[in-house]
Amino acid sequence: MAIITFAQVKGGSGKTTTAMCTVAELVARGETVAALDLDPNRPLGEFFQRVPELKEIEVAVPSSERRVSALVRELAQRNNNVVIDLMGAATNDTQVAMALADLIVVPSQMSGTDLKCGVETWRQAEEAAEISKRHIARGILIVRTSAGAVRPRVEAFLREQYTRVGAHVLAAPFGDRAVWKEMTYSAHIPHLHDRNSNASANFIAVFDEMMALMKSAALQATAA
Amino acid sequence: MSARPTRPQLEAPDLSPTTRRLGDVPLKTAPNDPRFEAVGELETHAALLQGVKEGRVRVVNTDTAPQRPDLAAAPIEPSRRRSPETSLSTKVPEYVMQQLRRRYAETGVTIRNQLLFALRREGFEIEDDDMQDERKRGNRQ
Repeated sequence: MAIITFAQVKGGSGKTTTAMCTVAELVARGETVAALDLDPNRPLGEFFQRVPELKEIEVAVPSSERRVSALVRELAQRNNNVVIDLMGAATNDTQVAMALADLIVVPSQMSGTDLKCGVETWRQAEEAAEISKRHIARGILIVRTSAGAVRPRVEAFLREQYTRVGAHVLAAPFGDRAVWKEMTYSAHIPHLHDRNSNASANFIAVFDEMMALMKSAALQATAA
Repeated sequence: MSARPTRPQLEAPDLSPTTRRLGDVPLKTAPNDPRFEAVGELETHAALLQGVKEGRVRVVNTDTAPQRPDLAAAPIEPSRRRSPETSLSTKVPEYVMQQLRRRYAETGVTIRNQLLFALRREGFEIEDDDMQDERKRGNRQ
C-alpha cells in the first residue's frame, strides 16, 4: 500500500532506527513489508536477522546492475509496503528514493545542524514531488526529545523554525529512551514484544500519525 | 387562544461517505505506476552531474551512481587482465575522498582507476589491460 522513505541529508538523525521500528510495526499489524537499505553500512538486514519475527523480511541492497527504481518496483510487486532507508548524506539516491515514495519522513534531532539539513531535505522532498508529479505526504519527525510530558524549550523552537519554512512537523515526537538504543543489541522491540509499554505507545502514536498523513494525502489526490 | 407552535422535527443528515474509502486504495503499488517512469530522469548521468553542480548531491553512492552513457553503451569484451585482482583497503582524509568522488561523478573514472593512474604516473608498472575496471561491466537495467 505504501512506499515509505526515511530521508535526512545529515547522518545520525534517527533514520535507521525509525525505519526499523516502522518495519516492526507493519509486521505487528500483519502487513507484508520489504526494505531497501541504501546505507552502505547495511544495518537493516543484520538487525532483522536477530529478531525472529523479522527474519523473513526481504531486504534489498543496491548494486551497479540494478537501478534503485527497478529494485523498488520489484519489492513493491511482492509486498504491500516498502521501507527505504537512505544514506545519511546528500547522495544521488536521495531524490530518487523520495520521488518513489508515498510518504517521506525526515527525522530531525534538535541541533542547528539537524535543522539546517532537515530543511534542505524538506526542500529536496518538495522538488521530488514536483518531479514525480504527485502529492507526496511528508513530515518532519522530531526525534530524541524528552520522553516525558514536559517538552523542552528547544523542541518548541525547532517546530517554529520548521513551520517558518513551510514544513509539516508531526505532532508526536519520538522520545529518547534507552530501549531504542538497546534495541540492536537486545533484539527487543517494544511495539512488537511489549505493546503495553510506554515506549511502545510512543512509537505507535508516531506510526499512526504517519499513516494518517499518508491517508490524508491519498484522499486529497483522489479528490483532485 | 392560539396553539403554541411546535418545534420542527430534527432530521438526521446524510452521513454516508463523500470521498473514496481508504479500503479502495490498491494494496500494492502497481509495477506500471507512473512514478517509476518519472523517476527515470533522476537516475541519469546528466542528473548526477547537475546534482553535484547544484550541491544537491555531495556524496556519490558508487553502488547506484549512473554510468556515463558512452561507457554504459560500450560492448562487453572478455577480460584481458594480465593478473587477477586482490582487494586493497586503506584510509584517506575525508576531503581527499570527497575529491575522488567528485572526480568520479564528473568524469566517470572510478576511484580505483584514479588511484591506478596516479600510481602509474609515479612509475609503478601497471598494464593498460589491468586498468580496465570490470566492476561496471554489463548493462544496467
